[in-house]
Amino acid sequence: MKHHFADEYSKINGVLQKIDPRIKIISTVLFVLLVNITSFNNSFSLIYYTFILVLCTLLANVPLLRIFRKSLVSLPFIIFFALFSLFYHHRQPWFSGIIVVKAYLSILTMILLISTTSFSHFLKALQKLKIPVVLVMIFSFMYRYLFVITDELMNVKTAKDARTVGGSKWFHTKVLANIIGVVFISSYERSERIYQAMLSRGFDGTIRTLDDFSLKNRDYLFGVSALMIFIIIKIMEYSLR
Amino acid sequence: MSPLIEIKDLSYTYPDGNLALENVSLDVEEGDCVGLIGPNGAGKSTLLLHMNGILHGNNQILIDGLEITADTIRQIREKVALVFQDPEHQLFMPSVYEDIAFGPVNMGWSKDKVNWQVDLALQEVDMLSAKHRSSHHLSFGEKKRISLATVLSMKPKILVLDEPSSNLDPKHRWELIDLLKNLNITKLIATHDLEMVGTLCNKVAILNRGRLKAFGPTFEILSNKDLLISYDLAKA
Repeated sequence: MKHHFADEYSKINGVLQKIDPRIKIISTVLFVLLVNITSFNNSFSLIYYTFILVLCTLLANVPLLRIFRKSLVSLPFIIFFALFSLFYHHRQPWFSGIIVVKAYLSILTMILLISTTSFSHFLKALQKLKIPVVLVMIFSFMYRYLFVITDELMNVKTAKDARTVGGSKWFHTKVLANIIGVVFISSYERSERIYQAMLSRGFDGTIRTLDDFSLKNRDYLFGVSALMIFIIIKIMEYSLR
Repeated sequence: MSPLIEIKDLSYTYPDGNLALENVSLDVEEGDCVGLIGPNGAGKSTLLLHMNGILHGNNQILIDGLEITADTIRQIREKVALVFQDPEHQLFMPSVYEDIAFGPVNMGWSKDKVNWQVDLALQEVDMLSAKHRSSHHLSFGEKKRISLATVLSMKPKILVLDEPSSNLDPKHRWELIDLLKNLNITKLIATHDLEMVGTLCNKVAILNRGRLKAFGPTFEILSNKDLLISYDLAKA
């Protein structure tokens, strides 16, 4: 089965792809933080942040349309929260609009980070940034087996479709619930066999890795530039208040 | 000289009460390639899981003279490499490099030694170009080869393989058989592929309902049609 992998643009030639993943993660987290603490009364800064994001996407040689398409899945959630905020303290629709823009910019930024960083480097960078190793391993297994389990689910569904003609929606929903149950049990059994495979190769509960990241001049340049731009935007935001 | 693998009256019952192995005794000499054959549910995979202490029956196994205990388990797992039937179980790390380095890193080897062994293992399975790819980008045949590399990197003395040729197309199956043939290492292979056993193994053991029914030279066992028929390994 063909899958679109999250890090599909991590191997292409682009400026962002060459930056150390740790610097990218820190810059991204800082960017998302700044976007979200932007004052509601002074939200013009969001235009600058949008401009920076578009510029980074172009520098990374990632098609804007692709990032936009990937982000669509998050829109219903963002809109739901924005609508919910309409009932909160009788705020203005403008307030909800700003929430949508902030959340959407954050999602786009994360998609850009994941698209331009190979997933194994992303995980290793998280570990270097002192994110708990168990959490990093959970991310690792989730990414590795998400596609395997999706394939399994699709295969069982195909087998079910091959044996069913017609039937009510309620019938299909009930069968789908059974399928999910079967896939859940097989995933559980799979996890036991994976654990056996890990034990076979000397795993004793301690997660060990080989670290080989080293910061280069371009990484420092990128990090300092990002920081400077963020500070300038914040100063402009406060001075125009 | 004592055998490399010494199994004495090994019995194992699963927690659900299913008796999977009953008084199995088997000796494997250094350099042997033993084909473990038998119908489905015969206990082949269960026996393999005992080889490096994943399952503990009555602990009647000696590996290179070492009994499998909590104290020796680390040494045992360095000596015995187990390759699972489904490569999706064997390849659990985000990249091929990390998967092959997983065992050596757990052995506490230095970074240089790990990198050297990873490259060597990839060369042995002719997959050096896949070093930085993700496992889920590989074809099934490639995954099988990389699965083998994940244990070769640990420089084991014994290679234990569960159905290595299953689900492979004829071309990739023969490539894998040739690859295994060129590996100068003691092998224990559980399989239904009698042609592969005939090509690779010098000894064959037949398991049926958890009991060892026959053990001897490959030619002797595979040419005994009545024996094969009696254990559903050939058509009457």
